[in-house]
Amino acid sequence: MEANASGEAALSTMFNAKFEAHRGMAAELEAMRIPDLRVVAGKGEIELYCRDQADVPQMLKDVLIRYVPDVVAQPFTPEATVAALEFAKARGLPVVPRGSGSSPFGGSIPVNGGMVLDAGNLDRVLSVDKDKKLVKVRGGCRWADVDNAASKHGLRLITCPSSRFSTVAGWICGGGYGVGSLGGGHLSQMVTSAKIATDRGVMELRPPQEEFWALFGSEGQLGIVTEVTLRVKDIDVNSKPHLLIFQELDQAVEMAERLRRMDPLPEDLIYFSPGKLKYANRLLHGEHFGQGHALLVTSTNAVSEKAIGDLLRTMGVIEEKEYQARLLAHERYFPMKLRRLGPGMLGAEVLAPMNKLKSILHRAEDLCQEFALDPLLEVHFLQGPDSLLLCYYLTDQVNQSLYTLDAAKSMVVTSSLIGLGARPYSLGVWNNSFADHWPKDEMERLRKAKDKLDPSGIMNPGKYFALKGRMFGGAGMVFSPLGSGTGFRTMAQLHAPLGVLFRSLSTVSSKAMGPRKRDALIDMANQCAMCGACVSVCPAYALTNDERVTARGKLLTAKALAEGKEITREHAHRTFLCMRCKACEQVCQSKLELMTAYEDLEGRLEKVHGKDVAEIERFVRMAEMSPRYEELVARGLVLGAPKNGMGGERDV
Amino acid sequence: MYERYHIHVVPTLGRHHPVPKFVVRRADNCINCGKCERACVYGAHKRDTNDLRKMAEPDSTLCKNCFRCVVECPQRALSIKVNDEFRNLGKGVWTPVRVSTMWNEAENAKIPVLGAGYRGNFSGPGYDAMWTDMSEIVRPTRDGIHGREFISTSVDIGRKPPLLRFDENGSLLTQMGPIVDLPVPFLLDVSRISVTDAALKGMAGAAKELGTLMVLPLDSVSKLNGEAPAELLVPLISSVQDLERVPPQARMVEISHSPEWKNVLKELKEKRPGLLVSIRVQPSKELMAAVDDMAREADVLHVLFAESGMDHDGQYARDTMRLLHRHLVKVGLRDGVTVISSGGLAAAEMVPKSIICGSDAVTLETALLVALGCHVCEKCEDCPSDLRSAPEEFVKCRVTNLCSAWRDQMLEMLGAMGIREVRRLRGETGRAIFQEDAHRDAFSDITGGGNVE
Repeated sequence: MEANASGEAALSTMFNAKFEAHRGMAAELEAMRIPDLRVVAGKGEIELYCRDQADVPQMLKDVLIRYVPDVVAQPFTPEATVAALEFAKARGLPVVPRGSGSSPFGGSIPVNGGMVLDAGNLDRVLSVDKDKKLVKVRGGCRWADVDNAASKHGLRLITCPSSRFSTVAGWICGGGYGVGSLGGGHLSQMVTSAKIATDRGVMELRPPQEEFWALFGSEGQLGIVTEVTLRVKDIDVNSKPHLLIFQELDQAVEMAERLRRMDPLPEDLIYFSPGKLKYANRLLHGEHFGQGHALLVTSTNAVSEKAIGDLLRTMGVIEEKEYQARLLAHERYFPMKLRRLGPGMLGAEVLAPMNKLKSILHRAEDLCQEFALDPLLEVHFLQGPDSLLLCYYLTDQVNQSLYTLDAAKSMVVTSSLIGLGARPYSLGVWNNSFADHWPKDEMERLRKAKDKLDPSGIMNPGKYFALKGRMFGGAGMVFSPLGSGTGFRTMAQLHAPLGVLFRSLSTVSSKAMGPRKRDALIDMANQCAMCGACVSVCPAYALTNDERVTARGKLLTAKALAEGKEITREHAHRTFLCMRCKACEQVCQSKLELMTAYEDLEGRLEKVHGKDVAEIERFVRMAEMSPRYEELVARGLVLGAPKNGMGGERDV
Repeated sequence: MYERYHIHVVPTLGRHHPVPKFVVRRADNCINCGKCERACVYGAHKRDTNDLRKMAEPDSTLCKNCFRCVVECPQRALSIKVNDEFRNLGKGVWTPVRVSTMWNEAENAKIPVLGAGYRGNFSGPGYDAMWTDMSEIVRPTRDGIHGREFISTSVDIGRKPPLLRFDENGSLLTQMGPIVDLPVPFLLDVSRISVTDAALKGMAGAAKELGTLMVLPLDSVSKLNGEAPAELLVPLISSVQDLERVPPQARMVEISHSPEWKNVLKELKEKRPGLLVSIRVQPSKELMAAVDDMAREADVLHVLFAESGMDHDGQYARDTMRLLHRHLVKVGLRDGVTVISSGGLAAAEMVPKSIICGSDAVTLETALLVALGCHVCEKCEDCPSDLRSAPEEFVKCRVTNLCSAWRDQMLEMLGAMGIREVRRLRGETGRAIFQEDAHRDAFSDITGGGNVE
């Protein structure tokens, strides 16, 4: 395999699909011939970088922000990353970092054009130190890959985000709380050092530098995280999940209070509302879980396992069966599959103080009822005074007016929760209006770090500190603390009449303005969780680096086609570059039947642009001979997936 | 000019999908990586020609069970197992391997090579409980079967005098009866199988190509419309009156054994002195008592065994034929009469084995149907190979191919025994080891080892 010293795939091993000419700024960057840097050329491919996990209502996007990037760059090495940043600085382009694009808050969406820097190909695990229990990875490495590499040495992650296919750098910049946070603490306690690429080179950050702490939740304001060293822990077979179900919300919260004060701390503790259990039953096709307020607590080791057992006995709490607990524990990693039921979901994520948790949860329930929403609530208990509250509900993305309305409700819910003392968890674009609720000291620390690391201010400008968009900063007004923030607060106070209004509007929207005829392919495109898991396992992506060949890309192509957007011939033919390995189907958390969707989409595209059989053959034969593909196949496309036929006959 | 006997063969594919010995299965977790395509040297795995991104279903008929694809599949998605349909092929001595081997022989007229080691039993019922001498096996790999010295496979059908008398001038005094010289020690026999008119014509064509005789019911003679050479036909007649319908060129007829056989034989001989008369007999204990008379007077004794290879008493042809042969030798009648054995001949090696046990020649019956693709499943009304529609040319080629392959194997065996003509093999039990003898030799000295059946 052709790889450079640090193990990254070289650009020269890529498949040469049909040529697409670079335009404007992209052509300039391409002309510089920076080694190990791919500059995205195709119009359809650039469009994939205009969005993230959430489907932003078109109306909102068109009016408020310039979301189409001028140039999209994919560096394969830290050196290439620095070179791309130098280019951006020289041209005065804002740089928007992007990992796997699996956050729903718009953190990786450009608001003023500029350069989207796709760091998802800085994806290798560099080394595992078994004795020191440290793993060194590239910033774009997926959490599943880190865990898999560690597991070969009997090690595992201490905490990880709910989407295991998000990148290490993405979680550092965006959140930091997830599965295992109660026992393991915030992500910043897991990271021992990080390297970030800026326009002046790569620099290393470690504690106790202030810049190191500022990196967490920095929303890409400081630089591109290219290398991270993480602490990991031994795999402990005694660690087990326990599922407790209560009839009253208060009982569950009180029990959680006890569990989170135990010594040793459980690894993980989550509250699930009855809504969550209901949806889980629907998604898992069976009555696996009963009704009630659930607590899912996972022990850390044998001592913690015994302590939990003792506590449950003394409290007289009877736990559910182990398989139920394990099933639900597994579901922690796939929160976005809920989209399948909508199609589409929306929600709010806030950090809620523990002392107000009960009232906030009651309030959220009431509010959702007023707005005719059927929500699921999740509370991830954390060390310290806060807990992470997630509130999700279904929507119908196909029905644009209903969707826009539901998106507005999300703002009101977030704003109401903040009014009760919570603060936003992740900002991105859509939560920017709540930035004034961010802790002042954290903001100050970030501002200082930014002055030091990114003095030219090219990193993700127009977000976090000030949102600028179209219409002379009109977007800024809407999403600024003074603009919409105030508006939403006012609305939250007027919730009673608002509720009536929302309810009647929703009824009208779903009845009158829904699509006349539903299209299975488009429905599937809207059911897609956009988590990017398929991107990380796709061998065709590994050979082309073009997201249009992945399941996510293809479903977005299907959507664009349905919306009547122009699909170029080159774009259409990219869609056929597929190995039919079904890794995407296997890894898909929404369990979409992608193979049939591909046949359907290819049929539609073939009608317009034909099919380039010669190119498909060239692609397949190239893949067969490619060392990179060989490596992926030998490793297993889907990590950890069972490698045997399991008696299943193939349907031809 | 001398012309060496040669059977002209035409490779002829079967008319129906063959029953592969192994089934290669591709499980649902196949990722279409194409490694199996590169692994399989036989071409069982190929990409789908309609969509190269997908693997086509494996072509099990090409699989040689080498397991390379199974080992190299990164997904462990491939598995190979013995085909159930294959396992259920045939019946009794018509084992699945024999049936499929005969299909191949009828297809390409080649000697079967069952590679990858022999994993079957070393002994079995009937002819499987004897092994022929192969001690001279030295050169066939270098020269091939046609490279070595000439080996004759011809046999003479008819009565032979015990000695020849000459006058003082050296002229032959002995009256020679009619003799038919066959280039191969087997005849075709359709009198006990059901064949269509086209198949009948095809088989007659094969008999012509081989230069051998074909036994057939008298009614079938007219169905041939004179297309086949009448001198090769052996009609099965039931009375002297039937003789009128026997073509004048015919050299031999068969009659069934009956209490009046002596009279019938006498009348036939009176009417057509040049005609060979064969008596068909069902072997049994009663027959053994009456066989001396027949052996004294008939030209040919045609001994009929069932397709199971056994006689009425459940004794295998191997043993019955040996008893008969030994008896006739003992009473001094064996050399006068020609003995033909029929039934249960399910493999090429059974022809020389039958001759070792005492026959002069054999007839092929069910083997002819298997050459056409018969599964020996005995469900003829719903034939999986649709034998009823087999065209004449196909039948001719397939039967010829099978017979050619069987003759080549006989040459191979004769060569390995160091015997240069098949007539020398008759009753040559010293050229074979019988299982019970081997067993006795090995174990009779051991306490409890002597009582071997």
